[in-house]
Parts: sequence; structure tokens; C-alpha cells
Amino acid sequence: MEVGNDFVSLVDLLGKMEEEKKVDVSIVGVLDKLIANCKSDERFWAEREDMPVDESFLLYHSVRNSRLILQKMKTQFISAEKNHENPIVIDHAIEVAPLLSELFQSICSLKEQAITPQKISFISNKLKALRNMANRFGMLPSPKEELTEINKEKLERSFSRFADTVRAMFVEV
Amino acid sequence: MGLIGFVKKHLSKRIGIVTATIEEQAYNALERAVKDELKNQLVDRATDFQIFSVIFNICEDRLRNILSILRREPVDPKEVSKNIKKVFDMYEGLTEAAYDLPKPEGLLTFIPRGFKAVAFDIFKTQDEIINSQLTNLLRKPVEISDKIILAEAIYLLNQYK
Repeated sequence: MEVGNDFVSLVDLLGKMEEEKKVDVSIVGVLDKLIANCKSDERFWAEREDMPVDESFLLYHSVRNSRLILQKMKTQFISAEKNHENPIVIDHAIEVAPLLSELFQSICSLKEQAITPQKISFISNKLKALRNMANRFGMLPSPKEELTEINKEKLERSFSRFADTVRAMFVEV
Repeated sequence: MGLIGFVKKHLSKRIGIVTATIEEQAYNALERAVKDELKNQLVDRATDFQIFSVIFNICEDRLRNILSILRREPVDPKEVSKNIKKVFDMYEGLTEAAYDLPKPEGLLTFIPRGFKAVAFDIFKTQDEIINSQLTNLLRKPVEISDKIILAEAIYLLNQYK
């Protein structure tokens, strides 16, 4: 399984860097491969018209978040190498990588399995744990950074309608 | 000023509290709201998934910020479970009361014939305003998670008394 191998490479490289206390720039190539895999899987789940929309969305959302975290990790490694910073980013990446790997590989396995509400709930919990961990180490993109890759007008329209729905939900309660 | 603004303003007084159940339910409610909205608004999966993924992340980020200014209170599950029984009984009583409410039609008995239609509208509006909280129980029963949260709130109230 290629993605599994890429995560093994990532974990191995992180272990080596931790021992040497030095950033190895070859990690950028490994991260790029994982980012490309995520992009391809985002398309895969968005195109699964045969699946209920809420399920395919959650899987898409989880893969997209994995990619955003990998991108942020890559930026931090590039910055640490360039500025010869204290490689604390290695320790942070070592904390985040196992959760990333587990989430991404769980989602990959669902491509060939029946998807049940329990599996969706499992993915949702893993994603929450991953985002919380990434947030602790500054590996989540800020809302401002996320806005760079989307159509702002469409976002504003959708957000406004979403806010109305949520408001209505709470008035009803 | 909203509730969260008020808590933020008086941060040093430590008046904003939360429990693990509330934290979990807040996240679940957000996820459910995003999925429901997506089902209603969906036009094109590729575009809408991306938009709603961003919306979900922005809201989750805001939720995390709000939770960070609240103090997590531990609760004793044994004590909370005692309250849960009382909360269930209370809602059962309220639901029965909602079923027993006088219907607007029943109030028309003593209204002269020509005024019945106008009176019906008035009674119906009054009924909707006065009893809306009770009639809502029939339309949308309270979720178990909300009952647990109320039981935890009672427990915390007793702790602070």
C-alpha cells in the first residue's frame, strides 16, 4: 500500500531527525507525496455521488484537513531549515504524525469496505483528536489562511445561510 | 453584549463553566448543522464540499476559542444519574401537561356565533404565545443529551450553593 509506505517513510525520517536533532530537508519530498495523495483522495470522496452526502462530506473533510496539516508541517520544516531554528518542529511532527497516519489509512481502507455509521463516527472522533493535537503545535491553518483557496463570495453566501439556519435551530430549542 | 462577550469581559471572575458533555455535544451539534445545511444547499459536491469544509473549520476554531475561556467542571456521575431520573420525570409531566392544554376550539363554546372565527384566531395566537414552550415538547421532544446536560447543571448548582 503506497500511502502506508509514505507514512512509514515519514515516521522513519522523523525518528532519524529526532536522534540527530537536525532537520533533514528530504522530508519535504515525503510530505509533498502525501499532500498529493490527499488531493487525489479529496477528489475521490467528492465524486462519490453514490454515497449519502453527509458521509462522503465527512470523509472529504477529514482528508482535506489531513492535507492542510501536512502543508503546515511542510512550511514549518522549510522555515526551520532555512532559519537554522531549534528543531522543535521535529518533536511536534512526531506527536502529530501517528494520528495523521491512522486517520488517513482508516479513510483509505473505507474505499473497499461498506461504510457504517460507526465507522463514520470513528473517523469523526479521530479527526477531532487530530485537529486538537495539530492546534497545540500550531499546525492548523488559520481561518485567514484557509480562505486563500476558495471563492470568498460563494463562502459569504453559504455562511450567511448557514448562520440563519443555526440561529433558527437555537430559537426553536 | 452577548453571553460569551460577558464571560470574556469578566474572565478573572471565572464565571464561565463547561462540562465534558457540553463540549462533546457542542461539537456534535456543529457537525450535525453543517451536514444538514449541506444536504439542503448542495448544488455541486466539489465546490460545496470545499466551502463547507472551510465553514466547519472556522466554526470549530471559534468553538475552541470559546471553550478556552471556560472552566471545565468535573461532575460526579453517580450524583448526576440521580438528577437524570428527576429530569426525565419532569419532562414526562410537562409533556402530559402539554397534551392536556385546552384547545382553542374548546374555548369557543360561549362566543356568539358571528365572532367565532375572529375569536378562534385570537385564542390560537394566545395559545401559541403562552404555551409555546409546552407545545414545542410535543412537536420536538427533548433529546437525551440535553436532559443529561440539565442533570449536570443541577449537580453543579448544588455544588455552588
